Amino acid sequence: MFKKTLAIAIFSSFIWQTAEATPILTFNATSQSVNLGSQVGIDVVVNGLEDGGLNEIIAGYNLSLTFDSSILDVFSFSGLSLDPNFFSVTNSAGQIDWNSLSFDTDASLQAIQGNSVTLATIVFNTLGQGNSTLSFSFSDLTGLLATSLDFTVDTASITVTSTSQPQDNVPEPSILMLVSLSALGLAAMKRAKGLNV
Amino acid sequence: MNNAKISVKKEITKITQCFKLITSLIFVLAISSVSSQALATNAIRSGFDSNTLAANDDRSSGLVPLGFSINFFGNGFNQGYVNNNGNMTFDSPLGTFTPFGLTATQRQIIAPFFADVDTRVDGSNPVTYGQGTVGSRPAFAVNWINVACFSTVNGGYNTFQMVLIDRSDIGAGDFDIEFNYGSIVWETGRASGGDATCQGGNPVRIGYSNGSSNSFELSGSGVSGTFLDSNTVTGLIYNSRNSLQDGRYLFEVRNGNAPVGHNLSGTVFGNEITNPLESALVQVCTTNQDTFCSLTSTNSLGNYTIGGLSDGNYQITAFPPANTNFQTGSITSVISGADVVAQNITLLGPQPLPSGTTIIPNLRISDGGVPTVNWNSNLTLSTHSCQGGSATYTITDNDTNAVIGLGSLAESSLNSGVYSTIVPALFPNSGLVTVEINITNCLGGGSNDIIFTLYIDPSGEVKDTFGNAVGGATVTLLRSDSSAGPFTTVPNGSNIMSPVNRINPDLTSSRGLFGWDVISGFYKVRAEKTGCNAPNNPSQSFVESDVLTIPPAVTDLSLILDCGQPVFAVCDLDQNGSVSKSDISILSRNLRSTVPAGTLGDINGDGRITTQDTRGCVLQCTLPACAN
Repeated sequence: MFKKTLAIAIFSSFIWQTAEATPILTFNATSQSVNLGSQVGIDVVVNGLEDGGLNEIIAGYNLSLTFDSSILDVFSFSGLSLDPNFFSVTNSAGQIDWNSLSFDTDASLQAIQGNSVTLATIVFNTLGQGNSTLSFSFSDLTGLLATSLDFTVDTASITVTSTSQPQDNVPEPSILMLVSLSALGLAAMKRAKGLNV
Repeated sequence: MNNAKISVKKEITKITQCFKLITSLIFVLAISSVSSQALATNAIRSGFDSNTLAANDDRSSGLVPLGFSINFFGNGFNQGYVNNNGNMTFDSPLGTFTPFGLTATQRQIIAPFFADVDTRVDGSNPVTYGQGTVGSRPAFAVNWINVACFSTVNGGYNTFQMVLIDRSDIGAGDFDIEFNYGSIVWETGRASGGDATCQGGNPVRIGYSNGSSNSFELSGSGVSGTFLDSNTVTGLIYNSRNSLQDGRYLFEVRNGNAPVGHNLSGTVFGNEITNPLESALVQVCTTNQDTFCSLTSTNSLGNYTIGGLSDGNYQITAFPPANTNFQTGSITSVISGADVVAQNITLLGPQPLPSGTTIIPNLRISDGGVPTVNWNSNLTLSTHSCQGGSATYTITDNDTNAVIGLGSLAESSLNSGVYSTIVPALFPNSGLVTVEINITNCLGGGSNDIIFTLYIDPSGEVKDTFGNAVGGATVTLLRSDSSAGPFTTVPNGSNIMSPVNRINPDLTSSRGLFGWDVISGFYKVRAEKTGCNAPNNPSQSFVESDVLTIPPAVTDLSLILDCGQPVFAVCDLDQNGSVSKSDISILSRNLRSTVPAGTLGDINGDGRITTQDTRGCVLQCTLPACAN
């Protein structure tokens, strides 16, 4: 009886997680560190368009990305053009605005877009030392049937260090994962103990 | 002979009076039971009680006017005799208390419950009758409400009614006969062989006759135990004819002809014969040009019977019960001089749209996973499968097995393993079809076969006065057993609608489309949307179709709403009469603007211009220049 109950609970939990899957507007790297004077690249992506049974698309988008103009300056920008006549980009100090609109059918977009769509690839020059957060001051994504896509938004950070200082190694993903898991484990132990009090 | 029967009745009357005190408690309980049954079925129409036939045994009224003329098998009547014993005659009063067979009688009679009614018995109501209306039509009815059998309270009290409804709106002399039953607890008077509780012996007869060549008796008439409430399978209150109201039996008399003929019966199963389906609606329709349907529902054993069918070819269609996802199923049958039995129908479960496969635009996807598409829409069929293969599709009509569409799907050059194609609009085909996608010769030699059920809907759309689609309008389906009404909203989830769409009221798609697949009957569709009204009638917030007789299927029904400025033109920013890329270009230049309510281009009305608005206008642009 206990086993049966547990199995149902696990299954329900799985269903809940799948049903709640939401795409995320994020970056290919959420934390980078570079030497002053060198260039740094970053991709803006939407992930999870097909997670949890979704079959969503990007049929239109309109974004504003902000950053610290005393640290970073746009060197090059390549945005996703859903239609060559309906794509525009403007760049000002500390902000890039870009949008595009598709004239394809939803089905066509479903056929050519996968779980992840890259909306822009940006290369920055580094102007000064410090840490710049990259965040979206405006984000509007349109999915199937011209409806607003339900999504979450991420931020990224780029740290520019002095050329005279040895650059810290960017942690390998596996190390990052281990550290994260350790932190989660510690947090869980702490929570469990707390419950026993 | 007749005198002998009267003396028997008098003797029984004396015996019965001796037991009055003993049975008084049982009587109270019986009344309670009768009342709850009558409330539960609700087949009895109220009113029609302006006249009373004083408490009596075997008596009749004088000639009473119907209020209209009827053509009953070629004989015209506008008056008749109300007989206490559960019938009405047109030739002369009828005092006979033991029912005779109606198929060989020489009496002109309509009998909802021909048996020995005794309204003198304690607790029995007298018979009432009178004129009134049903829906919009004049009607005449006789009420037997809580009437006893001869001559005891031990049999309890029956409630039934006969209603004649004037249908001269269809043809001179046309009328409907309704037999309505609220509670049937006795079947035979004690002078007709009935036992102490008025059962057994020579039981009730139900039907009608012109006294010579034409007659009809309900299946089970004259058979003890058939019609009682205690028989939950064949009891009158659990079944119906041409009505969705249990306990109501409707016989349409057209051109003088009332339904006569034979019974057609069978069982409806779900997937296999070990699973009979209760409450499945079954319609039996003639297959000639003058389609005429009879309707009933399956009982607790999954059985159905429809009587009064003349010789000919019929199509029998079963709709699955509510809260099931079986598909509708049909068979054909022939009646030739005799009853036809074992006309069984097995309803099959749908094959849902598999994950990774899409067909758009679709109006909806049912709970059972069946997508519905409009028959005028070109469709984009897409699926994920093994890479590098060759893909073809075939669309087959479920009823006829005819192939109604076939073609190939191309694999995406950007997304290998994704195959898609445009399926031309499936008009004039409609109904349930099966789509099969076959992918062969994939890299590594794999193959894949994808099959799903699709419903092609022909129903209709809501437009504005400029001819543009009105999306998001509320559409409501109303139904009546009679074209005269009254029309009531089909309950949401009802099995009156097939499982492809059991939502009512529903919303039109972005292209203004709507549709239901429904059992036979008389329907209206109402459409309304905030900000819109009936053309030329600003005070009426909705428009309604004329009465729609189903079958045949109603196709391309168009409902027109006056929504002020053209709904479609909300994207026509340059006001040149069409939505083009230049309109969308204008709109795109205003992205992120906040705008007042009703501003052109703000198609979702949220007060700002977003890519939902620009994209929405793209989807409304049908010009070739908008197609990529």
